[in-house]
Parts: sequence; C-alpha cells; structure tokens
Amino acid sequence: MKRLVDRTIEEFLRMTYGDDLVQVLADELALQEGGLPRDDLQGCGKQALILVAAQMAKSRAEMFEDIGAWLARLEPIRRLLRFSGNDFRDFLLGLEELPGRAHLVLPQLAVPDLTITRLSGAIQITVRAEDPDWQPVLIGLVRGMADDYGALCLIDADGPDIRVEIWDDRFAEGRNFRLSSEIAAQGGRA
Amino acid sequence: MMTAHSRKDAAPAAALPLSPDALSRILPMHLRLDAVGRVLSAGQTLLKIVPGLSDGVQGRLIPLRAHEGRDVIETVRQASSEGRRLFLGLSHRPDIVLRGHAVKAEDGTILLNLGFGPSLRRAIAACDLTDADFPPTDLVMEFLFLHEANRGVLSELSRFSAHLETARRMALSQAHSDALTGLLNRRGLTLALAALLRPGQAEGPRPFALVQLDLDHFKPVNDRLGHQAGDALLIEIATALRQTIRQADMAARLGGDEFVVILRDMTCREQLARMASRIMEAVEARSPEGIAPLKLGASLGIVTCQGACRLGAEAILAAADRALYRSKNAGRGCATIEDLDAGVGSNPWQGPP
Repeated sequence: MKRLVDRTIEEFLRMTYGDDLVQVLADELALQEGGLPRDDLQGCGKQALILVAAQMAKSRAEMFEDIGAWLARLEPIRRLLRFSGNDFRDFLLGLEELPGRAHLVLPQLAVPDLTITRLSGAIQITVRAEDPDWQPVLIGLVRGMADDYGALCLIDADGPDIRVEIWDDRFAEGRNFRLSSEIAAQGGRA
Repeated sequence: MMTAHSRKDAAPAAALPLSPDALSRILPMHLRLDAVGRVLSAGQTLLKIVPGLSDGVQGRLIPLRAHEGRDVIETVRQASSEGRRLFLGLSHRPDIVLRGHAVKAEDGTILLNLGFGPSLRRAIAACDLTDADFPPTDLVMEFLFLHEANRGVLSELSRFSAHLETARRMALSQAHSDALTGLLNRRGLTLALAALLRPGQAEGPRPFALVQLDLDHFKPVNDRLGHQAGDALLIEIATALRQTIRQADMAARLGGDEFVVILRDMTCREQLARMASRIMEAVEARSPEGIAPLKLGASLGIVTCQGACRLGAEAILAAADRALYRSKNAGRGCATIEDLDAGVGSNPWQGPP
C-alpha cells in the first residue's frame, strides 16, 4: 500500500514540477542510500515531498494541501469522490463514509476516521489520524471538491479539525458529473 | 388483515393511502396496473427509461425468458399470483432487461417493482440517469463507486506489473552479459551451455564445439598503451569474434583477455581448424603498433561434444582450458582440438592449419 502512496506523490511531483526535478530528488535519495542509482521515489515519497517543500520555500502543510487539491483534480479520483454526494454540502456530510468506501477497494489503505459535525453556519470535519499530515491533505482535497461542485466557501484548519463555512452552494457552475463514465468520457450533454 | 400479534380490540390496518406521486418517490421504478392491465401509475425513473409507458404497457414491455412470446399483462398477472421473478425487455432498447416482481393488491390492482440487474450501466448511459433517479436504499452508487475504483486499481496494478517485467528483463540481461564488451559473461555462458546440454529437447542434445581463447601478448598493451587502450582493444576483439562466428553461435568473455565461443552443430575437425585460423587472423589483424616488435595473437583450446556427451558444463570448460594450455605450451598462436566423446588417450589435433 505504501507503494501506491509513494507513486501518487511521485506522480504529483512529476506533473507539478517536471521529470527533471524528480530525477534530482531520486539522485539525492540514491546518494543517501549509498549510491545505487534510482529513477523513482519508491520507498521515500513523503521524504521527497518534504525536500521539495524546503526547495520551493513552502511550508510542509502547504505542500500536503497541494497534493490534496491535485488529487481532487484527477478525473478518476474526482469521479469517485463525486459519488459521495449530489451537492457540496451532501458531499461533506457523506465524507464519514469515505474511509468505508476506500476500504471496500483497498483494505490496507490507512484512511483516517472522519466525523462530521453540523455547527451553526459551518460544518466541522474531525480528523482522527495517527499521521498529522492527513489534515492538510484533506483540506486540499475538500477545497478542490468545493471548486468541482462550484461552491463558494471558506475552508481552514481549526486545531486538528477542519472547518468549512459554505457561503453559496451554487456559486459557480461546477464541473460536469454524469453517473456513466462513458458519457463523462465523451463530455456529452444530453 | 389481523396478525397473530394484534390484540382483539385493535382496528384492522387501513389500506395504505399513497398518492401516485408519493408512490413514485418511494418506488421510482414501480408500475401499478388495474385489473385489466391499464397503467394507474409509473415511477419517475421507469418513465425516463420507457417513455410513453403511462399510455400502456402493450408493445413497450416484452416478456422474456420463460414467458417469451406471451402476452405481457397475462405474464405479469401470473408472476404476481405465483410469486415468481419477472424479466421484461424494452421494445425500443433490446440491450436493457428489467427484472422485478409483482404483487396483487386486495382491490385487484397489481404493483410491480423493477430493477436493472446486469443492465444497470447500460441503462445509466442510455438514459443519462443521475443520483436523484435512484432511491437512497439502492446500492447503485456503491456499485458504481466500486466498479470505477476497481478499474482504477486494476489498471494501476497492470501498469506496475508491466514495469516490474521490464525491470526484470533488464536485470536478467545485465546479469548475464559482460559490461565492457556486451558478450555473455561467465554466468550467461554457464546458463547457455546448460541449456545446450539439457536432455529432453525434441531431437536430444545437439553436437557443438566449445572454443576457449586467450590473447597472447595482451599484457603489454595494458602496460605500454594504458588500460583504456586495452579496454578498447578488448571491445574490438569482441566485435571481431561476433562477426566471425555465425548467428546461432555464442560468444562470451570470462574476464581479462579470456573468451569462449560455442559453435553449434560444428564438430568436424577441418571446419573447426578453418574457424580457428579465421579467429586467430582476426585477432592478429588488430595488433596495435605500439607493442612492436611483439604481436598480438590468440591461443585456442577447442573441445567437441557430440549429442551423447555426458559431461557437465564445468567439466567441458575445464577440458577446453586444458586444451588451451596445450596450445600455450606448444608455443602460442595455435589451436588444439580434442574430441570429448573419443575418451581418454585419444590423439588431440594441434596446430595452425
């Protein structure tokens, strides 16, 4: 399962910063490991991500937010997430089911437990994860999905939790979503 | 109707007063028929799939499976009284089959509830169904989620295994070849030889000759012209060897200036002697001027092995090595050919032809 996570990070870095940067990171990691050349980031994706954050003068949290937002822009992932709800509010309330759904497909994936609480004027996502980096990843993911649904909202860390204030459910048109992936792939409108 | 649990004084449960609209919301795939088969109400999703269904089921829904060719109303009525599953095709979309069941109400009307079964994805694509077309009790969203997630995981897995396979092939070829010359290395040669000797091939093990070759006066090349020149010369010799032997033959470098060639289906002494002199000439032709008056040459030890040869790879290589040393002791620049099948005491052939 770690392999999948490392590959996701590598793919994010390749698509965001280019193959050259990934090769520089791979060389750096190879040196640390004793010189055996490598052309991927297997086994040390997170370490590579933190290295890039330092190079780009970004905070660690910003870097993990970027990867969350990037995930939400990937068509297959975005589609899977859209199955959770027919509007953004519905999607947020359905996030509690996300770990269960993820486990249906990848039983070993360590997805944090999520609890959703409705507050007055906001929705609070409580993240129970051993790894604190999950919080910024989820913030990025939820921001990306807000764009996808066309919702206008304020999403921010609130201690270890995430606070979402929805100002307008249908601020923008949002991206097209059809249940049938065939229709979606053609971009067709009935 | 009273149940066993109801108390004597309890009023009988009233018939369920549901409007067609409420019925459509709770059962979006339902169809309610009166006693003669006229449509009383149809669910909103069913109407999306079968437009015009409110005007009648005849000619729109077709009985399938056991009831193919029968009257649709009669089939529905029969299924409701026997409690059997119904399979209904759509006349305008033969690729979609609805399945469901029907119950008869006390007032003689029939209520059908239908679903998609395996035609679910086709129906969603054909009618552009959305989340709102399915009741929350339906597992359709979970099904679609699983379907797409599985497809993603599978394609990721197959990408990974293709990647592994390429890496494995590359590692294997690197493990079996000599980095400097690209010829086989000792491990590659041992495997190739073992494959040649393996019994169980259709026509049995084939005859072959194994040539062990050692360069004469190679050390001065390294000493006087430098190791880079020595390496360049080894690469040249390897290229020359490859050009001298045939496509089906194999060449290996065991290290230093020691080479081995396997010549398949060649055990005739005259042919081998000609091959040996071609190899020696090719090596001599590449003698660098910088080592004059010395001249680069090659000493060869050749062993031939008929199909029935019972020796292992190591023993054959050792025999070739002994033959090579006879050539060295005989003054270098010559070849010794020994027939491994002839047994001990046979007369080896020696000499430049």
